Amino acid sequence: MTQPSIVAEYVDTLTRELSFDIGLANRVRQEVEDHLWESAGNTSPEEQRRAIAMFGCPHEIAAQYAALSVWRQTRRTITVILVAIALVFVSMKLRMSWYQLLHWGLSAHLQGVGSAGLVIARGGFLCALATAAIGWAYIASCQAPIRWHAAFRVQLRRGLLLCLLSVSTLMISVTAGCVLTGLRLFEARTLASTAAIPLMSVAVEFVLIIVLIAAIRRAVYRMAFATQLASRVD
Amino acid sequence: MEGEMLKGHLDMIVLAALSSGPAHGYAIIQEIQRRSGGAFDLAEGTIYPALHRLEQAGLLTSRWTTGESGRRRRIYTLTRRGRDALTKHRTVWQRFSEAIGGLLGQAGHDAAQYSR
Repeated sequence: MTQPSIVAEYVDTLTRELSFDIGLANRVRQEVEDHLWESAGNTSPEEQRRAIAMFGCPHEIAAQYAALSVWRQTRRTITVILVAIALVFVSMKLRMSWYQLLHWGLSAHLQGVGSAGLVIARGGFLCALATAAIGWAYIASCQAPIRWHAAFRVQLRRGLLLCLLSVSTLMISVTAGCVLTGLRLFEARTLASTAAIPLMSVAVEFVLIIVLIAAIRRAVYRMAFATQLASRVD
Repeated sequence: MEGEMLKGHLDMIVLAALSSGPAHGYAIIQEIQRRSGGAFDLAEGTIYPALHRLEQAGLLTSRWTTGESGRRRRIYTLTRRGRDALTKHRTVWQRFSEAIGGLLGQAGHDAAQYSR
């Protein structure tokens, strides 16, 4: 069995440190490997060690990448939230238009519940939109630093809190919309083709919520990883 | 030169090294060493996160090519925004350098007078 080269071991260590971002780890692996072999010039262990010494500590370099990766993930998360909010808006509008087209209203004794539900759905939606807009502006104002530091972590954590708040209020809005749809279907006692559009729109909205929760979870995971990495370097 | 001092100007250094044309990471480092006369003692690996950051900021673009060795290699190019940023950095640096030069020159002159 052939021994792995010193360069390969070094690149393995570096990419292992970046395992929280697979795409980044793959890119870094190829780029760094090319650099080290070009710097070493040949396969002698001395030249490989010299190239690695000049390249620097893998943990330190990984920590620099981590700051960028978490910043990018947070920015991506807030952008996805804004897109999802736009899609939820289209979905809600489509459902309401469908009800109007079919003159599909709630009966008199459910009008109160319907009005309250509508207020919750609209209020939740507006809160989600406002929080996401603030979050986007806040995250856009943050610049990725050269290396991970406590103040940057606090900034990103605030950004993620705004993301979480936005998704939570959007979830309330979608749930209220789902309850109202349920009441309409219950009253009409139908699951026929007329119900397909409301049901599909509610399903799409819930899928979007799941996507958003997954995006926030990924950002939180990367932040935890980056913090751990930075604390090891310090 | 001090590592921490260099890190503060890393973006400007990388943009300046790319001003002569597209290059891959190792060539950028070579260019920095050549132009600085080997004065910058910076861990080579530090350049890559900087390149990545500058690309994210829209100051650089990059693409994969295959080098003579057959290994994949990422080539970086300055964008228009990158060139503008470099011009801005250059102006700020020249003003700063003149100001510090004046300050230190005056301090040197005063010290020479005192010592007489």
